[in-house]
Amino acid sequence: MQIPGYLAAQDALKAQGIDEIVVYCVNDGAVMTAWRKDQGCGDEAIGGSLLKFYGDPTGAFTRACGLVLDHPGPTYKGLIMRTRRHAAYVVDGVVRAVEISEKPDDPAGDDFPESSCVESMFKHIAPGVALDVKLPEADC
Amino acid sequence: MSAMAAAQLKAGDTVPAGVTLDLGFPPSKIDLAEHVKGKKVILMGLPGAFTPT
Repeated sequence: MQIPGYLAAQDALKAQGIDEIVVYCVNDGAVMTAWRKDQGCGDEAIGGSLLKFYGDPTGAFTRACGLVLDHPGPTYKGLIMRTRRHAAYVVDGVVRAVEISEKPDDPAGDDFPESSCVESMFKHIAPGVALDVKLPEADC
Repeated sequence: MSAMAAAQLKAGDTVPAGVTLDLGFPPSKIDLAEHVKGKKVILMGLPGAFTPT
């Protein structure tokens, strides 16, 4: 649910100097590339939009970020040791802000994803600047 | 910092080094810490590709 909003806002994000939006999941590279195409974010491994889709198949990157999703709710749905829903603003390799979308009764951020969606992150990137973009209804 | 028991990512941290992400298939192994040097990026992790949310 994050993706359509970031895609719609990519020009506004570019204008604030954002070079890339790194999307990653505990999936393989083929699945991530197919999902990227499905989401209208480009159909090549590189190119097509500001959003690039990466796999973290072993979960090593997710573990290194301390963001493993191991709650029994998502696990029951088949999401085993995945990534907690989050977005971070990173400048020259240093994290400036992190938003993790989760609540005790919403561990995967399915119901309340707003904190990691583009409107929320834009406030970290450009405080006081209005995000003048019509976001899709599918956005959170 | 151990990759197995890292603290939750927070402001002020650096992007984890020495851990690659896969781009495409067969994948290019991307060292994200290297990849984001000198750039402004949004790093977004989600529970799963093609999940409805």
